Amino acid sequence: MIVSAGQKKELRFLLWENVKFKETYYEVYDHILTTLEAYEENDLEFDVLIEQIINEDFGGMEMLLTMEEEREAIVVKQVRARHWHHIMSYFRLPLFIVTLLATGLAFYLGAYVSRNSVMVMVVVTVIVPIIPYLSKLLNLEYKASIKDGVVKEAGFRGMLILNLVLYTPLIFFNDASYHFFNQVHIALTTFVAVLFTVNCLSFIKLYRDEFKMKIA
Amino acid sequence: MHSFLRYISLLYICSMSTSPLLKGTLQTIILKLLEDYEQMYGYEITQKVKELTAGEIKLTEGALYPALHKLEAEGLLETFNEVVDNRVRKYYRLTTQGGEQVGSKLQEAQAFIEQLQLILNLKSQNA
Repeated sequence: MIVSAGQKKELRFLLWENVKFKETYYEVYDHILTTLEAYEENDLEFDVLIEQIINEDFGGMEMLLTMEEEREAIVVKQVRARHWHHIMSYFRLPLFIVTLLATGLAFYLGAYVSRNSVMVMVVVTVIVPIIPYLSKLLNLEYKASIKDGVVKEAGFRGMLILNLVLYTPLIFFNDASYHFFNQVHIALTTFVAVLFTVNCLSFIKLYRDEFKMKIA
Repeated sequence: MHSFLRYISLLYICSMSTSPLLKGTLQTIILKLLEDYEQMYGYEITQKVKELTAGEIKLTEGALYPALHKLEAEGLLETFNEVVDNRVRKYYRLTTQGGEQVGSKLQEAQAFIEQLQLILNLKSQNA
């Protein structure tokens, strides 16, 4: 049967409202349209046809959501493992050299330039992973992919850890004027700066790996 | 490919069982199809299985897509998108690792079918 532009729009709207991820949206949309195109012309209402296909082929809309949850669990596990692998690669040669250089730089900045420069280094490496998501956060028309979600979580993790680093010591020192980057031992600020730098670099590799899409 | 799917189809009919039996061989079917046809999309896989088994096996998408996603996560398949008729179509194809595993998966399935035949004595019943 021939599916009209209006019917396609109706189908897109239905899926947009009912599925969580872009992958499911595109794959199910293509599947339903291809199935419909293979049908003979008939008198059934369009929404009845769609419901019939979703029920017969996917086991209903609820099963689509279950399918998404299962897929999300697989992807989350996979992406987290890759991120961890990238992080660990900075503690093995040859990338260990980069880690050593970052350590040397952070220590030099903290000891001989100023503590604030270490803070700047940390803030830059915390903000960089967030940049790819700034425009997406403001775009309501954007349907996230599963990878978007889990990679975004990895990107924002640095911000979460930085907040913990900044505010947790206040609980123990009970001093409102306490400032982590100015008052702790230089070795600790160096450790924190290197941790964020490695996190940032491994995130960039993760992002590049996960979103190398090929659209022909 | 025909003989493998006919074999599965025969078991499917003889055992009067549907999804549980097919589920165990679904990944092998997908890998073998992608070895033969290089790249396919979900709907195409279901139609090809239907065609090769003369309609005896109908893969449900509810089972097919999770299997495809699992194989992709295991690194045996990779995906790419193509825009067809103004819509995004997701194709699956074997990775190098996936290509290397097809043979062993097929052998595993064949061995299982033979053992099952011995246990159920299907050969003599069908002779």
